[in-house]
Amino acid sequence: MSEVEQTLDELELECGVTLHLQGVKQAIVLEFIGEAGGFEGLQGGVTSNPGVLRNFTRLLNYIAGWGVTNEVPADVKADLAMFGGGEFATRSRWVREIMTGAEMSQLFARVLALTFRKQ
Amino acid sequence: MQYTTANGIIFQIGRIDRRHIDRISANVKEPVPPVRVVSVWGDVEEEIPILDDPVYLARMMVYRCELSRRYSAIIAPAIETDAVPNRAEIDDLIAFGITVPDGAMEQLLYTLPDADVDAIAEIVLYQSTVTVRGISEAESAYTVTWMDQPVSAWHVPSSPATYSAEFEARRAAAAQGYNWATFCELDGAEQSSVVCHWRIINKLNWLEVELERSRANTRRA
Repeated sequence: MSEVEQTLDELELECGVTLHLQGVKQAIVLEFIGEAGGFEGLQGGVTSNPGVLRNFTRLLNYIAGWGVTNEVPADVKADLAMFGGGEFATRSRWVREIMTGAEMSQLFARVLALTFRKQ
Repeated sequence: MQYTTANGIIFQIGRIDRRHIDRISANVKEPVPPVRVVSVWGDVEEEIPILDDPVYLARMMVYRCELSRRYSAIIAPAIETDAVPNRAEIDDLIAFGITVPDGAMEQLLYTLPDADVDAIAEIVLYQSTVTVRGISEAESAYTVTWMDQPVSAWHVPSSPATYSAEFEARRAAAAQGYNWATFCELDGAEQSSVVCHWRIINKLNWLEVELERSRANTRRA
């Protein structure tokens, strides 16, 4: 395994948490990208079109829930219980709460790289 | 055949009617790479495919995903397991606006990692239709050589005709006395064996004709 691959699946956050990452389902990612107008839609900038922005946000939410394998801390889990949802939805909320915007971009890029890297 | 996922779920894998696979192959077109024209031997030009073209690679990725998605939808009847889909995960996916397929087996496949789904689909295909693996196994079993080299290693001029894998299988089946329905009832390894046999016979015929032509030329000289 190369050095790049060894570090691709870990992301250290400013808050001190280290996220463990994994690839997500290619078909689901492509479905989101397709709904956002395909790769051409993304090239126009995600903030220039409300439809693209909405789908991009959904994709980020999905990646935060399924592309991260950390167990959500028990106390946080209790706090987030009022929002309902299962393990993945709770993890997505937690990850989005503890990350900066720049870290979210890193998470997005790394999980997509893990998802589409050659087997 | 049995397959165990990275998470320890055990699947018993059977086969499906190859005609479902043929329908998918006919409807999902493989991207064609761009070509670069190069000069060989003076005025003769040859088109070389550019297999690392980024746009082509992106199209291939989408093509493979689409094939995988469609295969996932048809392989469920061929597989059995005691495991059940994680209901909470399915509910989370639906809450995130993701369209989840109906049916317990389809949902279980939908939540497995891509690598596991691809491996399961590969086994279903191997047991249902002609595959590279099946052809390779048949070649090893036949052990036909020409001048001490496997017949498959001999290069013969390609035909200007192009055709689908289904068309080749139909020709091979007909040449060996199968009607199409009977051929489709054979398991994948047997179908591959029939197609492999047909390819070897064609190649041997060509090599023998060439050898005879060469001997005739020698005699005339």
